[in-house]
Amino acid sequence: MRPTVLEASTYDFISSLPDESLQHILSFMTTREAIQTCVLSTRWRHIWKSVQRLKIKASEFTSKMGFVNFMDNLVLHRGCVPLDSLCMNTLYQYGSVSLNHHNANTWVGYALRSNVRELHIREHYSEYFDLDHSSFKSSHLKILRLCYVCISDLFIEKLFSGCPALQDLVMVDCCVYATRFSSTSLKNLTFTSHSPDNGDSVHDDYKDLVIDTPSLVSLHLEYLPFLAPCLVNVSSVAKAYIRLDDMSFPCFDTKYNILSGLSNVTKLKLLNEEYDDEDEDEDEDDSFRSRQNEVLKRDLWRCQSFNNLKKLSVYDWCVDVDLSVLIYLLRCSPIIEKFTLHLGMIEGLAWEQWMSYQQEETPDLSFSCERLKKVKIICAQDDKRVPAIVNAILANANSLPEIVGSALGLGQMYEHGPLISD
Amino acid sequence: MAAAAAEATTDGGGKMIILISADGKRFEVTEAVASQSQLISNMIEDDCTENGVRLPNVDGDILTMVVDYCNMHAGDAAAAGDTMKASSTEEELKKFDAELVQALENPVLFKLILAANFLNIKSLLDMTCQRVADMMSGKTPEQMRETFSIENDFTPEEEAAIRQENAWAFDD
Repeated sequence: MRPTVLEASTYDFISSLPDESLQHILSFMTTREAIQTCVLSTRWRHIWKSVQRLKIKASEFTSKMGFVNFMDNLVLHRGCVPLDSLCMNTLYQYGSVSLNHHNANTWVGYALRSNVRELHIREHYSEYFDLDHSSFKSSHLKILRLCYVCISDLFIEKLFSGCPALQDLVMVDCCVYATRFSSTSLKNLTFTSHSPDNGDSVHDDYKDLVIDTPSLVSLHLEYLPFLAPCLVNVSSVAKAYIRLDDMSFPCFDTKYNILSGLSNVTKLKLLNEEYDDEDEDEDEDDSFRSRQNEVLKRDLWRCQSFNNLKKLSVYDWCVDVDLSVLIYLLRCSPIIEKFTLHLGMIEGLAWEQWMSYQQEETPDLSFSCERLKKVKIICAQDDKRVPAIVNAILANANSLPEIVGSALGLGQMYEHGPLISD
Repeated sequence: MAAAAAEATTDGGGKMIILISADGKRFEVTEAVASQSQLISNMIEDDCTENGVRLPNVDGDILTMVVDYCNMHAGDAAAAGDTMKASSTEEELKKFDAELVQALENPVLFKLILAANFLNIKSLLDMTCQRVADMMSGKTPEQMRETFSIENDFTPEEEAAIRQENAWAFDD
């Protein structure tokens, strides 16, 4: 704590650290910067060669040739030192050097042969990285994160059969042709934005998205147009985040299931795409939306109980005029603590139904959720469905729920007391 | 420290152990706090902490910082169950870590790396090494030498040869 002035200013402390500490420091820098420390002094000359975490940034290079030359030499000079992680990326910026090259898959193959545990590839947004399935054989690979990568059916098949230790698979903004994900080792699966904004849709017709993963703990599916989820064997999932696209289900076929597969979930978010009304064909939207709602409702009726569910966040597919679906959902969730309901804009036919609904007899709206502490309803300020929902919840809840109103479209959130009119 | 000790009693970490620095300073911490060091955690498992744990290569000044850090982070695991509570403490921790690491200067930073490495406290080691990496990043080799007082023991010819040999990492 109290070094002499001389000690602090002139002693070369850093070079006296053990090799492993220096390697640890270099592993937080980009690999290119780490290698450049070889000219500092004799102490530093070979330190970089044993760094086990490589961070490659193609955007550090001004030309593709320079980048490819760097990668080829890196693999050559590093030799057979084991690898922990390889992260190859480039900047999300016009003109940045991309990763694609006919040698690129040999670099990936090198990492796999060096027993890499964690592999990240993030290609430039203007193209997809062509990943070759033939090199994906490793008993060490645990984590694979891909962004702007082209993923074929065959690749996924080879990946799951060739990498028996794989636990995490993340595919973001990828061009994914595979529609069947079947793995016994996978614990975390993220699959989002299947048709990124710069490309055409991968699928031009509906396909079943089959997820058969008996060890899965966390599932994240988001913005996957034309892919209809069929969750098989996912009852181990504890945390699920699913955001459906309007183009999720082609028909009412009974094979489509989400909720009924997630019987042990503790935290569930089931949302849908928030769309702008303006440029869309409203009639078309309505029919897609109502088909989606019907599929989800039918799926819910098949559910017995979510015995572990503590936090639930859903959009308004479960809000019918008689509130029966909503109440059933709560009855299925005996230990729920926090419930969030997103009420979208209601218009057209659905709105007329709400306004003209006459309660003929008092339906049984009772449910028992003793641990329900917080109910959050996100809605437009004048949404007429809110008082009915609030009253139904208040009649059964032990404590006063919190209601949050949000002016839809304005992006503003404000909080106030319960919206009870009487 | 007292508050952390009181919290820790619930998960069996109530038992106290003594850490003794190279210069003989003594620190009384709970097992839960000390267990963040993989080295000490192993010693606790092997029941060899009875007479205090001597740490012959960690100075009292540095051990003070390590113990502060471990006390601050001892709640991590306990709070993980309660997400509402964790989010507030997480923010406090981030602030504590950021302030600690920003305040670290040349010799103390490296002594802390050595201590974290020896005691095997991964989060502290990562944090301190990241700090050094940030200090090196974006600098030319000459600037790095200057920042850390690294003595260049190459002759100009040798340095030029090494640069040539690794030109692929220097050229664009």
